[in-house]
Amino acid sequence: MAGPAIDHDRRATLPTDEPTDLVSRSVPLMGGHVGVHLSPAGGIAVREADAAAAAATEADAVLRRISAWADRLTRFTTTSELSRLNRDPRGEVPVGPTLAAVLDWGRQAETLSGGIVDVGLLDARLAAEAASTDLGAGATRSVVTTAVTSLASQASRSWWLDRRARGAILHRPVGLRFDLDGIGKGWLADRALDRLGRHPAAVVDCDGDVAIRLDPGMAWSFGVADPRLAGHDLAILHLTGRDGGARRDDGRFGLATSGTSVHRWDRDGSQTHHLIDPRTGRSAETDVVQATVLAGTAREAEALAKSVVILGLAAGYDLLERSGVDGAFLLTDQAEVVVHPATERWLA
Amino acid sequence: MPVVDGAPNPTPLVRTAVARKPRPDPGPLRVALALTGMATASALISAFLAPSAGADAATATAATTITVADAPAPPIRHVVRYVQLKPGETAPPAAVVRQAPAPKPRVVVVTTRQSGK
Repeated sequence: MAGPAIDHDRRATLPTDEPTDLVSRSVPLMGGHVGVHLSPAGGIAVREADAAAAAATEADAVLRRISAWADRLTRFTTTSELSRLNRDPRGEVPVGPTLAAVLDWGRQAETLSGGIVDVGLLDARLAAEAASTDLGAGATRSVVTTAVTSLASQASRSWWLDRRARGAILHRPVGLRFDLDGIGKGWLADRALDRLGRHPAAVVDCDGDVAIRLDPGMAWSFGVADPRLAGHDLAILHLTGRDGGARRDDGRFGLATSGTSVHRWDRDGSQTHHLIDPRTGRSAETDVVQATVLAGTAREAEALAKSVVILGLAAGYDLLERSGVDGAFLLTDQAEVVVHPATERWLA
Repeated sequence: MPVVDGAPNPTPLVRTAVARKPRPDPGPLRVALALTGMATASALISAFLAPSAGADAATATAATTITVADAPAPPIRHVVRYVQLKPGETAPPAAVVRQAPAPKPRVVVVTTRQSGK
């Protein structure tokens, strides 16, 4: 492959023993980086260079598609469909198919996580951020917290979707606003991976939430970042296709990490972060600093990783056991690394 | 030519007394030519259709087919030397099982981490 128009080819940064047929493309998106990595599909009549060039073109198209989806789901622009929904004063609002699908997954994730994942907590998260920046007085923060707790306990789950041929009608309490940051990236990674089915190996990395598909005979390695030391890994997972131990017939995995290290604010002796516990409406008080989960899909892995952090080590580990994950790494506030037994088959 | 009743018969041509030599019966020759044509066509078709065998081999095969069509087919014994077991399958009794070489993992291309936003 390669040509002057390809700006994000990472092969140049890979070690020299890396096979030359890897196609990697990435773009800054969603506050981080989104990447597509492929082992190009070949054929008798396809030259390697042609296959790589075609795969690069396909990867770029998928990245553009992810960007288009993300533009609808972000709360960081005023023009997104999510922002329009959150501004809409009505209790019943039509939503498009993409937003409806992600909201629908939010409902499923709520069930998967035992109620810990809750997409109706935007105001609680904004309050956590505001408490550390704009609101300095403890009294003021307590007022906000009380209001948010009330909202979390009463209204955040009182919504439902009436599905239509395209999209849905959202029924919600007036004023309820949604935050899809927590579940959107995993969903996007899975959805994008669906478009790369003809390649023997494909990976979509939505800023750390990773959807993976490996055909038989394919084996790729994935790092689990150590939040304490930039550029270092807690572990390396060697994942293989369905002939090498993958439990699902489609050879798919999801790998995601959540934690309290990146978005953490200290103010007046108290600490807040972006993971809101729906039981309290406030930043979760937890002994898990970071959780990485390997599951069947990126969206499941993401929902479970977030839930483990919010629940804490004991309850979070129970959730992992019930969910039948393919692996998990938990870093505690005591600097312990707890490894789920299912992880062992993937370790070097 | 129209025939008119009562008209005198035309004068017969005068022929020499030499007896006409009888022609050989063309039937056997036509049969032989037909068989040769069929054999040639069969050989050509076999040569075109055979994926890897050469033209000579195809011709020989066709000729053999014609001349020994009634001969009993030689017994063919299939010997299975290798099978690739799929997940969940077990090897036949007394089979030697060799493990397929494990795929070599690629180097790390992706790292999972806490999201940037």
